[in-house]
Amino acid sequence: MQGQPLKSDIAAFSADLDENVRTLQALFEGDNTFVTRLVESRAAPHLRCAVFFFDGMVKNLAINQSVLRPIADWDGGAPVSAEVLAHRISQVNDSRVEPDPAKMLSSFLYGDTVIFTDGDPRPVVVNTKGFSLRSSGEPDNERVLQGPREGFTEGFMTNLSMIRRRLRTPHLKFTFQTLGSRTHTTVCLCYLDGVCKPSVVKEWEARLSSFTLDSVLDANYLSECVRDSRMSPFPTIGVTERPDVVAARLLEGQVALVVDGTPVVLTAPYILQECFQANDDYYRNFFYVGLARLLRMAGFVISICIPAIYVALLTFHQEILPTRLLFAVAAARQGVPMPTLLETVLLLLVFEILKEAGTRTPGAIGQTMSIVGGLVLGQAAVSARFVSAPVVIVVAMAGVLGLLTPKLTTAAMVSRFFLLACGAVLGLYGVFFGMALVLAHLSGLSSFGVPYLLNLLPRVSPHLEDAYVRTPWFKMRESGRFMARKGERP
Amino acid sequence: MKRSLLLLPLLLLLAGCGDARETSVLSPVSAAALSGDAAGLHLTVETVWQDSAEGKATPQYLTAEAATIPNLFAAAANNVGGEFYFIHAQVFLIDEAAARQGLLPLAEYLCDENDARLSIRLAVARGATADEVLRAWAPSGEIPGIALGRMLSEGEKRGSGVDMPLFRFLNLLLSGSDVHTALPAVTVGTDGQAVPSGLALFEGDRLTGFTDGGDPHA
Repeated sequence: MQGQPLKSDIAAFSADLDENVRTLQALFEGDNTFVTRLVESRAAPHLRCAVFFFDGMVKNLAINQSVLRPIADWDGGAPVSAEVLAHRISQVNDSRVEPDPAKMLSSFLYGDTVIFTDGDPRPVVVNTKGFSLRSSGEPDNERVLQGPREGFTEGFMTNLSMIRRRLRTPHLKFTFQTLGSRTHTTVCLCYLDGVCKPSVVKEWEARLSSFTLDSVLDANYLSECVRDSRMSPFPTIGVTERPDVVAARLLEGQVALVVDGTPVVLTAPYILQECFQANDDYYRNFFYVGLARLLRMAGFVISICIPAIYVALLTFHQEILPTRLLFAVAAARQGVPMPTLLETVLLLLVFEILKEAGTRTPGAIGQTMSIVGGLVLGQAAVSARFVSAPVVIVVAMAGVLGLLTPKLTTAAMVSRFFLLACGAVLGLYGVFFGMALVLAHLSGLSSFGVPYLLNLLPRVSPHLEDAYVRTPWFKMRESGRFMARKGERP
Repeated sequence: MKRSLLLLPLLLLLAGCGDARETSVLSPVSAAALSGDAAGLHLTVETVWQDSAEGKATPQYLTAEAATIPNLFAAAANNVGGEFYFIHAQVFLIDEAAARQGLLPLAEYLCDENDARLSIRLAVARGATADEVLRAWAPSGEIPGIALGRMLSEGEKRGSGVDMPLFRFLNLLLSGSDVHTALPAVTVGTDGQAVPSGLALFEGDRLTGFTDGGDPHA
């Protein structure tokens, strides 16, 4: 696999096979998965080779039939060079001479087999990768009711192939890089040449080149380092495990970053509008989709505001409440020992704890925990007058509405507590002041040079086909290419 | 980022935590009744107390006496046991004697008072004291003061009565020197419940008499 080579302590190899064997065995001393297999040709005694591979990372059958047997059966006359070994003896489809020790090691550590022949210092690298990978399935947190159900896996080339199968154009570009001085993780920038703005690609490359962590085990390592406004709870970089989503975003002019070893793919630029889009918005009828999307937007706003408004009304503005509602709420709060604010904060925290516990606990136990937690809180705590029924309703409503927009979970949680603090201090004035601050914060965000509120505020951009509701496909100008270069088609 | 941090101390300076109050300390008043005699003024307030979400709300009556309107309300606030929460009061009943003395001091006090809604309905007790009318039971079983407010509102919708909230009464009073207004009159019926009883006629802010029925818009 191409990419930046591994830094290596080996400057060069020797023409003496035994010395090369000693060198590599010393380098991988203590590693019991490192296998050395010496092989000689039966018919040509001058052909002596050493085959190196890592047990568990290779296809043994390929080595046996395409490497070892051809070497053993070789009856060529001349001394065998690395080229002859690579192009005539080896029967593996991807076979090359690799004189650079660093590049050789990089491929070797990823599942390729290395062959040295006596008399030539250059190793031959053959592709025999055979490590097991999880089969592709629908991602758990990106389910659709209708549409493709394929998801990325931890296999790097498999993921790239899933994207290429959907965008069969020579303008689809894959640019590899290696990041992390210890893990040497390969990442790939994917973009559609002619659709994506070159400045975006350059910006991606610049940010990746400034990445300094020594390890990359997941895409989030990169996401937190390269995204804009890293302290903002609102996401400025997209995350997905679905190849159809990546293909759609590439068509919109975004750049995708595929990371080896993780099914999560990053996409950018990423704007707030995309947080309210669901995957099957494009696979279902536009009437339903429009309604659902507006519901998500309204749900998010209500989710972050309702606890704050509840506390503000009950603490500062009781006169706004209808008289009967005030009596009912006052009656429900009879005997509750905590002030309204503390009660609300406590219950919000408990909701988050239950959500986290349900996520961490496996299988049926997690479901049981959620039910027990809900029953205990909803019934017993209210009966015992620890909390009042109205606040349980408010917090439950806020929590459930927050689940409509899973991409904004963190932002919703932070905004909710922030607005609650504003409402508790300044009443409704504080709530609206807080909302203004949130809006100001969103207005100041950008993602790789694209305003975060693009398409949601009319003055920023007129591309409203896919903003609040989705225009039917027969009315869509071009598949939502709101960030792409204008006037150019792939 | 640093500029936005400056907002935090600014927020603290503007903090209105001092105005915060829990519902548990409130004693919401649903209706009030004012009587006047030689001894002075008497105020009866109907507060609502509900011990639980399942229980039924019950009215409780507290009285206060004083020589002037502000002292009367201050005495009622002292007696009520919690925070005197007047803003949800639906109806203010005035008996005949107090109405003949003039309603302007009361109306002006309620307008000045932050905790009184301008839409509170005014009515005159006829043939009974304001306290008796306030305590009359409501056929729907709800709080009498709230039932009375609804009765006055429905009466105007049907055209059988007049609904005179405070702001409308005061606007009429202050619109000119020779002003005639009317307030709904309420009495205690034969079954012991509060019933409409025509109109109370006012010249300026003083009661001059009653009229039975008739088209209020004529």
